[in-house]
This record gives sequence, C-alpha cells and structure tokens, in this order.
Amino acid sequence: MNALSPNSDCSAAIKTNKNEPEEKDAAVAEPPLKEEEVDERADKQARERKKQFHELAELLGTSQDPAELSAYLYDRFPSLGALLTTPLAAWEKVAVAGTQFPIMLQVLRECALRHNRACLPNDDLCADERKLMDYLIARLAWESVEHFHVLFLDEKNHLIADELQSVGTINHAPVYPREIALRCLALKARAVILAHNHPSGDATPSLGDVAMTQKVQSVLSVLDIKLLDHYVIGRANQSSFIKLGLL
Amino acid sequence: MAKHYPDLPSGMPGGGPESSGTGPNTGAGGHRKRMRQRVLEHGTGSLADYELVEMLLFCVIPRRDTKPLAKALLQKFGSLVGLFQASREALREAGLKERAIDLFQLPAQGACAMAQLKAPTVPMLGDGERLKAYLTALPQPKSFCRLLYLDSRNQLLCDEELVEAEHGLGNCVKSVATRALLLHATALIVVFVAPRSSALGLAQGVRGLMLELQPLSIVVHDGIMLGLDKAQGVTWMMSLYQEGLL
Repeated sequence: MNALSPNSDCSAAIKTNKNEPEEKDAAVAEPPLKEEEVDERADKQARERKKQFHELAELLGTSQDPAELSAYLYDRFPSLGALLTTPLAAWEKVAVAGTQFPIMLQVLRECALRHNRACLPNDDLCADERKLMDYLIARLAWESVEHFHVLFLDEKNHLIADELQSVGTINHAPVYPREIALRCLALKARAVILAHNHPSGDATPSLGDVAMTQKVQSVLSVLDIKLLDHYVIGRANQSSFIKLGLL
Repeated sequence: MAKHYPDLPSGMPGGGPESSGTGPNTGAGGHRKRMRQRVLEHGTGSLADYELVEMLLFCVIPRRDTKPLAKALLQKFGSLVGLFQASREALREAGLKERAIDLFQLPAQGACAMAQLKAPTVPMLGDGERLKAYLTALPQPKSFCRLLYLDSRNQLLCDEELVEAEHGLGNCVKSVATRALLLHATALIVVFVAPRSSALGLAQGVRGLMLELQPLSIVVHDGIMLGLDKAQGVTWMMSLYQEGLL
C-alpha cells in the first residue's frame, strides 16, 4: 500500500477541493510558505468567504434567519464566482434558498458581467488583453456546456457587439461561418474575435476547433473582414490561436 | 421551516417583505413578482440596466416602487458601471442607506470573483496506475458497487455508491444515465467491491450498461473488481477490460 501512497493525496484533493482550493493553489504557487502560514492564510480566506456569504444571504435572501442559508452556502461553494455562476435549475431543490435568493443571484451575476464588459477598453479592444480575458473568463469559463461567442469590432477595433452564436454540448458547439459572416454585414463589422469555452477545463484547441477556425477565416476574408484571434477559455487555462501560431 | 419558503410560482410574492396588502398582481408586490417571473423565464440578458438596479433595490426597499430611484441613480452616476464603482461616500450622498450601499458593492466583487479562476484540484484517473492509487486511498466503501463519473479528460467529477446494483446493473441504467447527464460526464468506471458473483457475470452487466449508454455518448471505460480486507484495505484488484472480458 505504501508504494501507492504518492497518489493518496487524490482523496485529500477531493476533500479540500470543496473548501480551500484557493489555499491549496496558493501553497503550490509559493513553496516557501510554512504549514502554519498556509493554515493561517486558509483560515483568513475562509473567514472572508464566510463573511461575504453571510452578507449575501442577509441582503439577497428573504429569510428572517439568514444564518441557515449562509451556512449552507459556506459548505457548498468554494468561492463567490462558483456561487454566482450556479444555474437557476440547480437551486430548484434547495429549500433553504427560498425563491427570491436564486433569482437575485442571477441579477447579481448579470450586473457583474455588465461591469466587466463596461471595463473593456473603450477604443481598441485588443489594447488590453488582460481585461478582455477577464471578461471572457467571467462570461464563459464557468459554463458546463460549450458556448460559442463572436465579438464584432469596427475598423478601429472598437467592440460593436458580443453575441452568443451557439450553445452546444459538453465537448462541441455548432458554428456556422455563413451566419457569422451575415451578422458581420448586418453590424458593419470589420474585424471579429471568436471565443468559446472548454468545460473540461483544458483550453487546448481540438482539431475540430482548428478546422472550424480556418473555415471561418476563409469565409471572412472573402468579405475583407479580419479574424483577429480565437480564444479558448478553460477553467484550468486559456489559449489564443494567435499565440499558438494557428492563425 | 418549509412554510417560510413557498414554491414558485405561488399566489403571493415569495414570502418577501413586500408581501403587502395589495392584490396578487397589482401594486409594487405584483410588479416584483412579474419581474422575477421574467428572470425565471427569459434570464437576465434581456433586462435593461435600470431594471437590474430596480431589482437589486427590491432587496433593501420593501414595498415601494424602486424604478424612479433606479433611474435617478443611473442618471447621477452616468452608467451601470459608474454606479457599481461609486464610493460609499458618493452613494451616501445620493441618499442611500447603509444596507443599500453594501448591496451596491456586490456587483464589483462578483465581477472580480468571476474573472478569477483557480485550476480545479480534481484527480485525473486517466491510466490504470492513477486509478489504482485512487481506489486504494479511498476509505472503505460500504456498498457493493460504486461509479466513477469522468469528464472527457478523465477528471473525476463524482464518485458515488450505487445501491441498486446489488440486483444487477440492468436495473439502474436509467438512474446512471440521469446522473451522468446531470454531471456532464462523458465516461464511467464501474467498481465492484468484494464481489461475490463471477467476473464473467459482472462483465456481462457492464457490457449491457455500455450498450445502453452508447447512444448518449457516454463510454464505460472499465469495470474494476476489488478485494477488501478490514485490516489491510484493498487486497487485490482486477480490471475486466484488461482481462479481455469487455
């Protein structure tokens, strides 16, 4: 049994995954931390999360006693991001959440998304890639099935519209190059950025992704519209077709 | 307890502070209910900026119509993001109470939280060695059969006991398929703990499950038989796939 112990942290990972994934990552990123320091940091983060979830339960819920709801949230969700991106359907059987709280979470999520979108550069969208990634991650990374987005830009790379092109299944979303071209014409777009998520977490483009991107590029080039990049957003990492040399 | 949390859609707005004397579909209460119904049916994407603010204000202002205040706030701070980034001071000057000010801090916090990702710390069960290590490290399971639900990269999504499997896998295809779909799993591994029936019999059950799940694009990778001993834990392990039984 001892020979197998290197992987025994698998089960530990499952347990910690629920409560302190952030602490675990932090510990990996900065090795010199001592064990007590890691504990202390985890404690601090846990306390902050507890406070934040209590505030949410108190402000957005209808219950007279928000303690029960906040305890539930604290047990279930490792972060505010995970809480906000939980779909409405998942709340149906959670009696303690009541009816108003899940709806208000959706409202809050939409507010947060519009906040991120408003923080995108006003002129050249490509000028600040970090902000663009923040926006795309918030929008896409948490989805459990593939979402394919098209960002339409004008000749100065100013964002005209961000549209959800299609919703697919766990490992595929259909894309119709002709429809993208048609929307470009309707919106008078001169450049396009594609983005989709990989629910598995790993953002390595699939062969299908590459082939589809080339098809979109050839369709757009007929209309003299630039394909600036194609981002794949995963929970574990993100990739750019330009940086990978695929465009 | 349940009476505090009536199911939607009920006659009156969900037990909130705004359940006032007005009729079910009139006045502020009715308006709030309709707005919530709209979110349930069409999502939040179609809401105007002022409607989002209006709905946020429902939480801190009971009963009254919040639309005029929502519109005034947007006008004062220029835009939705202007409002969400306003300082507590500025919000106080705009006449908001502390609870409302707390509330308007949330969107920016949420925006930040949703853009922050940490790699999920889930075990990868791609090869036999890792699977073996994972199963060995498990606390001793009570049930005869457990199912490991995996995603397309063989990350473990869920590890669950399957109680009904005692009477053959054929009886639980529906429940397994349901779980797999809900978890967005693409693959399964069946684990038999201290099986009393023969490997051939178990393999037959696994093959049946494979066929049934195929149309859903769910693959059954393997069936694993485990020998358990109270003191020593896992004593032996056998893969039906490696034995050529699948």
